[in-house]
Parts: sequence; structure tokens; C-alpha cells
Amino acid sequence: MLQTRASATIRPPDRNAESPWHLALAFGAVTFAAAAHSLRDTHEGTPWRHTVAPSAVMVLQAAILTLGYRWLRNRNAGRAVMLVAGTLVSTLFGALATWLHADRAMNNPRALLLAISIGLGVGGLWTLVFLLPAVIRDANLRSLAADGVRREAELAQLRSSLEPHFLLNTLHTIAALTVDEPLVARRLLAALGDLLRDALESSPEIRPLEADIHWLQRYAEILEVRHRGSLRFEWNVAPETAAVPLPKLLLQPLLENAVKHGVLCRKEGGVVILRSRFIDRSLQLVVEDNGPGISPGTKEGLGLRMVRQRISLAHPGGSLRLESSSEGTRATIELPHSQEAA
Amino acid sequence: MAAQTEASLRVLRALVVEDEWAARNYLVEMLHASGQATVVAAVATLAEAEQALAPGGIAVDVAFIDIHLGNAKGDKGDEAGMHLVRTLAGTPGAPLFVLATALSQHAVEAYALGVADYLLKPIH
Repeated sequence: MLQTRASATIRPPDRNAESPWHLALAFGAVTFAAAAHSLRDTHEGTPWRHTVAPSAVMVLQAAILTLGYRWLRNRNAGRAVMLVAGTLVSTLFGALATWLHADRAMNNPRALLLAISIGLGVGGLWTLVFLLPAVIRDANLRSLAADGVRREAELAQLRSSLEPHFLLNTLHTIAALTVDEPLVARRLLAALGDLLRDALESSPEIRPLEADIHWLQRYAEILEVRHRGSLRFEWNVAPETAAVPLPKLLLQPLLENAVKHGVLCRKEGGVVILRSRFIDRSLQLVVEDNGPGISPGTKEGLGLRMVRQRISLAHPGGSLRLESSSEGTRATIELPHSQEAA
Repeated sequence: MAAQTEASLRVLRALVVEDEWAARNYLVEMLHASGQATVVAAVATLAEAEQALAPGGIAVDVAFIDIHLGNAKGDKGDEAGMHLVRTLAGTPGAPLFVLATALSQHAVEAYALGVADYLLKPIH
């Protein structure tokens, strides 16, 4: 069966518009019609108990399965739990339907087995007709959402490295440096070239942390020259974290915020520190600045929203936490290590 | 004596407002090299620029202003230079304004406010 756990993270926006309930009602109507039809040909016993009641039980079974599935899904239950619960419900309802149809069947092991098979059959049918389309729809929506976020991230990356202001101001700085500091100008051209190459070439969405660190160091090098004397970067990357796969440029918006809204808003300038390390079984990434902090009431920008979205898609269970005071701001990303290959 | 006065009248007293040091020095260099202006002050922040241009501040004929001033608090920095020109353009004693920025997005408004020029970076 398909992975259903993820649907708790990305929910289809119109989940109720086309829910299995509508199908369950249609299923019920058809079953009742069939039962009513067979009622005409019944000659002995209490007709409703032999025909309508077992049909009603089957419909009830489908309804209970639908309800139970939703309940379990909203609680992030695993597939195994869902399977066991579904089988149990189907078995019970199969037995109930048979008992309603004829009491004596309960004393006959073969008839009981047949009853349970019918129950499981109804359960299987329900899975095929109701559950599978819903699960497939969820999976499609999830992959669409992932595509959308990836495209947005690519655009944001283009905006940050090739962002016209960044690009033109950097060129302006290089032009300014050519006479008095030609070696620094040359270094900046190389750094800018690296950023442009990365933006122009298509690279995988998930790549090792060290590839991102390399990009960020080039980006930081340019900003350090442009804001010489008021901006400094410190890198504290634990070697064992270098190979951890991460969504491309996940940290870029955090770095940009730390510079733009942190250090550069501080009169004396300041420092941006980037840290990565393992704590227990989690990867911890920290971007910290000693700027004036986030003013109360400031709305979270597109950059941070995107970081959150990308974490929730690539690393369910991961988190982004912001702490801010007049002494500075700290953004902390924590990702469960066991899921980083996702 | 008369020739000297004439020369000093032709040379404009310029204020440079630019948050990035290299860009600031670059503009000062170019103005000196032109021989048409002498830079009387070069500042990095919106606050310093406002102080210089306030009544009783520095006597300035022309102000070269960067639109984006990164060290203005919050998002205000994104168009701090425009804010300055909007406030001062047309007021008595205001100097000529020349804006300098990466993109032309503010050019229409700038010329409507009566700026003398709108320079695009990299300037040459």
C-alpha cells in the first residue's frame, strides 16, 4: 500500500469535497437496492433479517472503515496499525453479517470461516474502491506541493545569487576596487563567478551540507568585502556533518536575514556565526547574529516561510526555531538524523 | 583674487550618501577626478544624511544619494534614499539631488520629484 503517513503534513486543501463518504453513500444505496430486490424472492424466515440486515451491516462496515481510517490518519498511525485495525473490523462485521443471516452458521466452523472471508472481502473491496483513490490523490497532491516548493526555492536561489541588486552592487564594488585593491577585486570576481555558475547549472535539489557551506562562504566573502569593518562571519562546521544531505541552499535565507536585519542594523556592525553539529540523533544547524534583534510584531518573511516548508517536506519531524533579544537573533534548525535520507 | 572666486563658484559642493565603503570611495574619487565638484562630506547612513542636509547643516550644492541604505533599521533601508528626496525635494534651500542605484525602478518617481540625474550602478 502507499505511504499515507505524510498526508498529515501536507493536507489536500479540498479534502472534504470528494471524500470517501460520498462513495460510501453510493455503495450503500446500491447494496440496499440489491437487498430490496432479493427481498421479493424470499420465502421463509424473517426476510429483513436474512437480506436487508446483512447488507446494512456491510454498509456500516464500509462507513466504520472510512471513519476509522480518517481517525487513524489524523493521529499519524502507521500502516501496520491501520492494516490490523481494518482486518479486525472486517472480521467482526463478517461474523455479524453471517449471524444476522442465520444463527446456526455460528456453530459451523466452515460457515464462520466463509463469513469472515466475506467480511474481509468487503474490507478489501472498500480498500480498492474508496481508500486507494484517496491515497493516490493525497500522494499526488504531496508531490505537487513538493514540486511547487522546489520551484520556489530555485527562484529564491536565483534571486539571492543573481538577485539584480546583489549582482549589480557587487559589480559596482568590484569596479571601485580595481584601482586601489586589484587583488581583492580579482577575488570577488572569482567568488561571484562561483555563485553565478551554481545558479546557471542545474544541480540536485538535495546535496551535501558541505556544498552549501562552500556556496555560503563565497556569498559571505562578497558581503564581507562590501561591508568591510562592519560584517564578519564565523564558521563552525563539525566535520562529521559535512556529508549530511540537505535541501539546496536551505540556510541561505537565514544568513541573508542575519546580515540584512541583524548585523547591518547594528551601528558598530557585528558577526554572523554559522554552526553545525550532531546532538544525540539530530543534526543541529544554527545561524546567529549579534544585531538588534527582531522588533516585536514583525511578520515572518517569505524566506523563513520557505525554510519551514522545505523542512516539513524533506524532513518530517524537523523544525526551525527563532530566538531573539536586543542582543541578537538565533535561528536553529533541527533535523532528525534517521530521516535525512528522505 | 577675482579668478579664484569665479573658480570656486563653478565647483559644486557635493555630499555623498552611500552605505558601502567601496562604492562611497569610488563616487568621491570620480567626483574629484571630474574637477567639477568638491566633496564636502561623505556619509553612510540615512540619519547622518538627514543631519547634514538639515537647516544649519553643511552647505551643499548637490547631494549624490544611494537609494538602498542597508544600515537603516528594518525594511526602511530598501528605499531610504527615496525617502530622503521625497522629504527634501522642493523645500527652500534644498540642494540638487542625484540618485544612484542598481535598478531603474524608481526613476520615474525620481524625475517627477525633480532630481538632476539618476545614475545606474556600476557607475562609470
